[in-house]
Amino acid sequence: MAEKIKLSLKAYFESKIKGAEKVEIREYSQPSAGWSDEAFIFDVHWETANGKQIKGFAIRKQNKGGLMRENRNFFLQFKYLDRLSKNCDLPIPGVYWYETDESILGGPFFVMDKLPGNSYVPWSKEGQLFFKRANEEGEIPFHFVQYLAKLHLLDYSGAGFTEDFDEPKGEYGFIDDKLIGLEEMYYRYQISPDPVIVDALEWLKAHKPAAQRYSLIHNDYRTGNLLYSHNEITGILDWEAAEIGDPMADVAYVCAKSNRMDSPLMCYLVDRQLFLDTYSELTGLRVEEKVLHYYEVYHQVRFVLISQSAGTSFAKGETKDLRMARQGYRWPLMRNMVAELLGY
Amino acid sequence: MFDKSFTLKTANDVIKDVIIPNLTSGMAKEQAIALLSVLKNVDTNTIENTKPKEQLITLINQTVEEFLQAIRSDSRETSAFNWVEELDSALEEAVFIEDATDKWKQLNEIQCRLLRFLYKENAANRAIESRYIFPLRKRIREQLTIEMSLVR
Repeated sequence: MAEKIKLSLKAYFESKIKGAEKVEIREYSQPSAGWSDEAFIFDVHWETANGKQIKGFAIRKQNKGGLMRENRNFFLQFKYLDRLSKNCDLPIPGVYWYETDESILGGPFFVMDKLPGNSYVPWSKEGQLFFKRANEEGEIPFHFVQYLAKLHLLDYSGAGFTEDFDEPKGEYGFIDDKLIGLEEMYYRYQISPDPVIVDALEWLKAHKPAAQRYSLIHNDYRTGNLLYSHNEITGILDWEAAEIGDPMADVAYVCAKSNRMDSPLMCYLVDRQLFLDTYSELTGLRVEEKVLHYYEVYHQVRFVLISQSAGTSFAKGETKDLRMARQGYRWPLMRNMVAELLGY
Repeated sequence: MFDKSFTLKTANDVIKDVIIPNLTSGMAKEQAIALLSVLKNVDTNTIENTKPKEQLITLINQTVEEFLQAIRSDSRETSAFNWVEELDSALEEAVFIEDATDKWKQLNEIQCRLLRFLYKENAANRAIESRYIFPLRKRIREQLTIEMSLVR
């Protein structure tokens, strides 16, 4: 399988790099298959009249049986990274080509820079050790806050984002759209009518916070989605849910229990107060506990519905990925986290 | 959650199509092949466990009945609640559903409608939250605890 993919990549890069000869794909690896997309990482070696060249690339390929596929626009993910990489100094991959020819890798994909560094699963032993040490040393936690603040302060209109992405209207525009989306997901992926989620959806409708401003938001900003090298953050990855929205959604996500479980540190990395104070200082935005709580409920409901989509996808025979079945069985545990947040 | 036979059959497909071709140890391969047969036999020799659903059905029935009764007699707070009759009828109709999963789903739907009505009322009368929504959450918590006990 890997050899077949490498051959396809070789032919693809031969067609993309003008004048390239003796193209070779080396250091190829495929990180564990994602829930929604697949990734391939490799170096391309080639020769031109100017001599030998080497460059690292990564490919993100849409997984057809992936989670929530119908809710996501793969091309917009490419556009988001394209605009962002050209308009800020955050450590994010630049993108090169968007490919719709499914005969090459079996689905649409886009090519981007391979970034240096390693990623860590935050709740693994190795990850916990890494983030504990990073917390003590202090550089990475500061950059973690700083990069989020930079993203939120970026002039997205000036960077042309409003040409491709919807800009919410009015201070409730973002959350109103999100709640409509959650309700649609609730009905689309229903396992059974669910009083916990109906309660949460009604609660979310009744307690909507007004956005102080709109920003580019990542929607999955956590330590497990970053790359690290030499006490620095070298990459911010997984932009598939990014959009223009309320920056407090990202701030709450960092603080969410599901991203730290029993750790006293947010995302296993940063002290809560330090994170909030630094973020506030850097952005000038007010951080209110009730708004953080609101968006934590929002994210947890989203997780439950994603979990439901995995379960229903398996039950309908749309995927044979047993991880989806496991996620479906874990549905009550996910709902329990919503119930706890609502004070059940 | 999932149909037992369908789940075991899909697990068998994954073992056969994804796991076995990637095993390099002969011993592991033999065990995986034996597992295919074991899972087929487990499926043939077991039946779906519907007991927790039946327990949930009883609990949800009691919950909705008690809440409707309380709302009906609470004329001070709820004199304008004409939706109580609507839920009463739905509850009566659910009695005739025989399949445990269908019945559980239908009763859950009634519980969801009760919640939506309560939130609607709460927008005009904040007392509804502490009087009905909070206590209803306690009852839903009991149901959730039963569902969670089935997860490994």
